[in-house]
Amino acid sequence: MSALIFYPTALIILVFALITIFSKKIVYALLASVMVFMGAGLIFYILGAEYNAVIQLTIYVVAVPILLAMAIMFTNVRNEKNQIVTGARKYAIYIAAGLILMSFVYLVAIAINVTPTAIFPNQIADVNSFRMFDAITDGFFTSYIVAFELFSVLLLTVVAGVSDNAK
Amino acid sequence: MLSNIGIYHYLILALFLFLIGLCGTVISKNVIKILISIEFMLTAVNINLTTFGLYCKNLAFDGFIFALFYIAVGAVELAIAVYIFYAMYRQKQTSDIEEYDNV
Repeated sequence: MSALIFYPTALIILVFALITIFSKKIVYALLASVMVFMGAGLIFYILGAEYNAVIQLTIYVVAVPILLAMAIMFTNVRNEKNQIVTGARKYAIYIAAGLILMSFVYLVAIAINVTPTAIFPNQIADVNSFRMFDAITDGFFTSYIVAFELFSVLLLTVVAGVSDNAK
Repeated sequence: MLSNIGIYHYLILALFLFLIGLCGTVISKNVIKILISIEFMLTAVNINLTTFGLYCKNLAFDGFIFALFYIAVGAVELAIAVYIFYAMYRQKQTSDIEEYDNV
């Protein structure tokens, strides 16, 4: 069952991510990116992180595209051409990207041969909604309370700063 | 093999999504596209964190919590980036990233 959902979702994520990058129209790129974020939410759901999936859908499928659509509407981005680098610089970038890809593949190839001590590929954690909510609330309000408060201050600062500068 | 989805399937998916995001960040000239590509990379990292949160039993869902923090960071980063882009756009009237090299 998991495989039936995973492979189509992974295909959708990767194909629409490529469409986003190589699309010539910025609005199409934005719509394709929504599909990628939606697919990522589905991946979270398959992994058992239902709360993460809901947060992913509300922020990345609703809030972020609206923010970016507003940015597109308020500017004249839609009519601009030549959105991908050209000339000799393009080939230099492709070579650099190829080198980075090869280094990532090398790292993954090494990682597969290493026997990890903390990862149990055949023994996944017992995930259910009650345990997950229990662990998340426990983490937010005990183990990571400082980080949680810092993020609250960060969000408040951003809201105050942007609304103050928007006058 | 294909019917059993394990940790490496998720990690490889996240790796490819991260690489696509990295590629988009490097080759795009449009600021909006670069921001979307950065969000792809953040999403790939989130998939990694969630996967490790599931497969590392001793972490007790810490990966899920880190992923939530990371989503908050991504939203904040995007809001500030869009604001900075709009402030710059008012001066340059273009979304070409190469025009902003003197900022």
